[in-house]
Amino acid sequence: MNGEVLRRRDVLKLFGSAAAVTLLVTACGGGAPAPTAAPQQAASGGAAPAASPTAAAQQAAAPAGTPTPAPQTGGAAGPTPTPNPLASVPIKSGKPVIEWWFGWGGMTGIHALSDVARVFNESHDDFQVKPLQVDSITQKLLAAIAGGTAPSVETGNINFAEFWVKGAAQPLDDYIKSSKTINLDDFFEANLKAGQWKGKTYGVPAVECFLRWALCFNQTFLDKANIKPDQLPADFDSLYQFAKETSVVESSGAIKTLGFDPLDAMGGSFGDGDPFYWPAAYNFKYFDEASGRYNFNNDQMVEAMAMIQKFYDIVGADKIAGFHKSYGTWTESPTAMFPSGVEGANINGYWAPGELAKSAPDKKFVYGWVPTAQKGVKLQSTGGHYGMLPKGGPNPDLGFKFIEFLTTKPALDAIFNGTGWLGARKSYLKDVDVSKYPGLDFFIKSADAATVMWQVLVDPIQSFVSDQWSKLQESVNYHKITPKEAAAQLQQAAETEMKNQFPNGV
Amino acid sequence: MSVEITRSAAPPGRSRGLRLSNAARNQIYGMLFVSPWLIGLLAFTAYPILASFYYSFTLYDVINAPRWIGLQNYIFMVTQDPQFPVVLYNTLYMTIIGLPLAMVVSFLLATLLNNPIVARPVFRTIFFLPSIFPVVAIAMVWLWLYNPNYGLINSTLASLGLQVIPWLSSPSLAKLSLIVIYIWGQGTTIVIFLAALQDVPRELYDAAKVDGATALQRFLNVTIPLCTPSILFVLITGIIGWLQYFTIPYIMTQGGPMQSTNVIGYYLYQNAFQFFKMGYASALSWALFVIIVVFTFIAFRSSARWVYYAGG
Repeated sequence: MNGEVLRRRDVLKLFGSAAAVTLLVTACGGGAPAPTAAPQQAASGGAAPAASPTAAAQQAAAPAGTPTPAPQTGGAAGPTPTPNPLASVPIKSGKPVIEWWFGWGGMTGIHALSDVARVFNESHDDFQVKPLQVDSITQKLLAAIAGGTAPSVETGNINFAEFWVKGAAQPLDDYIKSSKTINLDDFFEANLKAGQWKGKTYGVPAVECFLRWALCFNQTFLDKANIKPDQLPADFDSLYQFAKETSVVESSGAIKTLGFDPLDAMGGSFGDGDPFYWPAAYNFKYFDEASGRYNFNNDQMVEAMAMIQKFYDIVGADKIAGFHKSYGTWTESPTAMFPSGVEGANINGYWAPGELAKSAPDKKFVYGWVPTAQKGVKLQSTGGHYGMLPKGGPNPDLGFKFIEFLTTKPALDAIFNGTGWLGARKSYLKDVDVSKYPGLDFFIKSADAATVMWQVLVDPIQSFVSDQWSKLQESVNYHKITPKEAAAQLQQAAETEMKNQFPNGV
Repeated sequence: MSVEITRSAAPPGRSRGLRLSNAARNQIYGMLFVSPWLIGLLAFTAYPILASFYYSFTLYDVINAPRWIGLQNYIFMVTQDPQFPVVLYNTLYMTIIGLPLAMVVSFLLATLLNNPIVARPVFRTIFFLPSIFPVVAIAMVWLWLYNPNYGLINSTLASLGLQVIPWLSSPSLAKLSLIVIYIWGQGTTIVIFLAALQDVPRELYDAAKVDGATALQRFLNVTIPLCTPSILFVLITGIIGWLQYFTIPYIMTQGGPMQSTNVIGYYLYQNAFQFFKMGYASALSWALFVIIVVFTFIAFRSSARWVYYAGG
């Protein structure tokens, strides 16, 4: 024996200990990723902050106030576990498989889109599609693109304009040119335009892509206010009266019913393929795509913000904020304000009839034109989502083939039958059975009856501007700043941000 | 009989060459065994830290290559960003109000749990349990508790004929509502204080009793001074944790209402992943690091005046 050496037994003991510790740590680690401070501190040997907020595995929880997945049993308290339909999509073995991400999180939408994947996989032998529903999809898609793990196809719920502008999507012009399935003449021009940037096409309208605006009423509230369906409030003054009459606050201070929430659904949505309602209602263009300039600091924007504040003052901004948290917004979840029958009206899109048929089948809803500041204007807007190939995503050829499929009748049927959503194909709309979802006919007819047709603007810093508007409008609603100050601040913030992100111009 | 360890000559047919000493060999073995952790540290801790430092001087949208812009992110943060003072204020408010409150409540609870009472282990378990629940689950439960229409708290208030409280929808109450949640989850801190309390020598209490000290005097002049090392530890780790927190505002309030719960952690997340501004988010994270260092330094420097270490 020469000198001191590690004996074989010692080495084996050390390896055994290390393996046991590794197994123990793996067993206790849990499944969810933990991008928070505590694991890093544990790894570096520091103790977890004792008097600090406990950091733990972070799940993709939907922020409060957004539509929550609709429990199958219905009702607000529905702990019945619902099997994930995406997990049951059959995937043929031995075929190339591409990943398809989408952001819609309600169970109705998930069921419909899993049917799309199922129909595709059953009818195709060249390749298969694996669908994945992704919460907070903008953030996760961004990270995936940066990390080189982007999916082959993405549809829905991202700030499309920003992805086009920043080059996060692959151009589709060559694919479209050689496509035998996609005929650009069969799509609404406004939808196509919002999928383009500087002459290149990055998105094909797909999955959910039709008209965005109607004033949706719960019939019960109309009856309470003695309003007939042919005399719906059509301007802000009459809508305000309706809201005032039908908003009820209980003796405890909690809202029992809310007549109208101007910021629910499309009233408060801006970006992710949706147009900005308030500038349209007050007839001004807030962004010029050619020059990249914003136009928020004007009298019309001030009036719009003041009008929203006026509605909020009926019951109070803090009460409405709490009401949002109690019920949620939009129409897909049965527990949201409108489907659960505690909200009288909101501004919503063509999907409302289909979604409400599933989330509130026991209630009756009526649809009319959205109010505008100018009398006699029938305002409508295009908008919607796109099929896109994320930058760096694998198998773009196969990905585009799947996007083509999304625009065909089998996919459109699966989506329409499952959730009432419509793609942007004119030929499909001609034959769609509007009687399936009461109220859908209003939207179909509005395409021709509208006197003003608005559209989504391709805004390079859309998410920032949308966020700033929400914050400033909230400050106005809480009477912390005036609408005039808010409009000026929004202008300043948008201009500064544009200059910071694009110092050499867009 | 002594054992002598000697070095033998090189075996026949082999040149002497370089032979490692035992110390060097042990060093190499030691490094080999810690190499997985070292590689992990370099790849997943050191590299991201250094990368974020670099990105803080760039315009970086994650999609395209970062573009060097020098100190512009920091200048914008301090001079032009209207949000930064708001999030800084909120973060400092939560820390300066919440941390001392949490420490006081934890210490008092630990003191109570140190008393010989019936079913003491049960009470200790009850108070410790919240600290082991996942934060997301805690957030969802408290969302229900705070719910203005059918939450447990407001339902109870309404049934007593009182007005409901807008816990999360009032700008003046939202921060305090989140602080309550964090205080509720202080089980680990209670355990640390409990251990410190049990380390206080009984003889000191006996001596104080003999000298006529009241219970309060014993608590102030014996218990607390001898627990100051643990208090310092909790303070330092608390500063680091409270200044960084993110999960509860992210899930429960998204920074609202009216930005009253928008903290630096949430704001930098928004910049990084919602606004495509990873460069600015990196600058915010380094600004937060500096703030943490300053507060920690102040706490350490002050500790000489109020921390008592037994034995000198």
